[in-house]
Amino acid sequence: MKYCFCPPLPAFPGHSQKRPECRMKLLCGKPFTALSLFLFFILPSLPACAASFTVTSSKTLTAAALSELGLSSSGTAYSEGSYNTDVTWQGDVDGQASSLDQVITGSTVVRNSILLWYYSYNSSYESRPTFNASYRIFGTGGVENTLSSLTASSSTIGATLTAQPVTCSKYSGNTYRCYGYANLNLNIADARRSGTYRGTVQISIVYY
Amino acid sequence: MSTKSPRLTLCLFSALLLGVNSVPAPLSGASKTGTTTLSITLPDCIILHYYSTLNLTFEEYSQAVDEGGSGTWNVQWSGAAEGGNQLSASTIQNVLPGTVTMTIPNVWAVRGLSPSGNAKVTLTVVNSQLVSGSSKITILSGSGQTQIDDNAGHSGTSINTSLNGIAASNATIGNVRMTLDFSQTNMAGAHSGGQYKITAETI
Repeated sequence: MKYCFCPPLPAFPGHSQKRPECRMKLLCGKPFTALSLFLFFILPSLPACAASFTVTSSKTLTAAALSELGLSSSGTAYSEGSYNTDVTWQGDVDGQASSLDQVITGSTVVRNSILLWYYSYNSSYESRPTFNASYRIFGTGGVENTLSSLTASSSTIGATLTAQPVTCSKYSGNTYRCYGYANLNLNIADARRSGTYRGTVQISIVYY
Repeated sequence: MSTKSPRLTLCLFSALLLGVNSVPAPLSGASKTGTTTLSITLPDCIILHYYSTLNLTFEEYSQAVDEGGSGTWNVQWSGAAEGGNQLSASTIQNVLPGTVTMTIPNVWAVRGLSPSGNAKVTLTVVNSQLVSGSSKITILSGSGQTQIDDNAGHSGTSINTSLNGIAASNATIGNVRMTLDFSQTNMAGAHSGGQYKITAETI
């Protein structure tokens, strides 16, 4: 997805006032020829879009690793030790509640510096803008701050996006780019399924 | 007109140069919106909690059993006795069962993530004999004898049950139903060596 806008074409300061005939005579004779040359040859050679926003349409993050959950393998058998109980000859057992050790040490997955958008501009046309970017993330059904399983929307991951400061750097020639990054914090404690989870990030940028 | 045209040409190109070389000003306040789709994949994982040792202590049992009625015997002066009621294996009351079926609660649990959100949990008896010398207690195998259940209506030697995610607080906790046969048991005290195995896998 690419959003693009063009700055105003260069104005001709002063000339229309000092020499009104420049405008009046444009459509005839050699001035017309010159204008035609400008329109057909020079103008097209100018950048069609001197500044543009590019929003990343989709981003597949690095899959969560077992190690991020504190696991070394996909299957873990954990012994809770000994279970001691009395039994009657009728088969009655003095039950005891099972208190499970928390084998998994973490339920948080973090993905930092996710590039959501960038702004390209020609430093010959404009100076570096200032940006205020904000992000909101929604799962299936518009539930904010979640990602939803593709196979079962009721299985969700808690998601929090944190905007990072916009950074700008020279891209090539006079072209500079300003990058909008965010950090994503995922809480998978409520997830029920493995597989792919998806969410939509709404990006709002104010620049001046 | 022809004399003014060069001026106009000059005018155009001058303006162009002025426009290109003029110092740009930042754009006045503007806004943009857009959307990005983010996706991430969670791996399969399953955690099985179990007890490595089960110690079952049966209550001590002693009871005097009145087999009822009265015994009438003909006794000779030589000391021989005949007639009357006699106890036999077939006539004594069976106050202790030969087999005991019990449900041992909350001795396994599973949690994790799977494509379906469920896991297949299976119980098999690996070693059915608990022994103490010549005395044996046998774990009877098979559905209805020794099996598992998940406190959610699923029972059998192999069940599909919910994993409920990775949080321990949401784990599925289950029981083991076990039937012991005491028909070859002739000693009190510890009998050991029986073993069952629980296998859990993501589905």
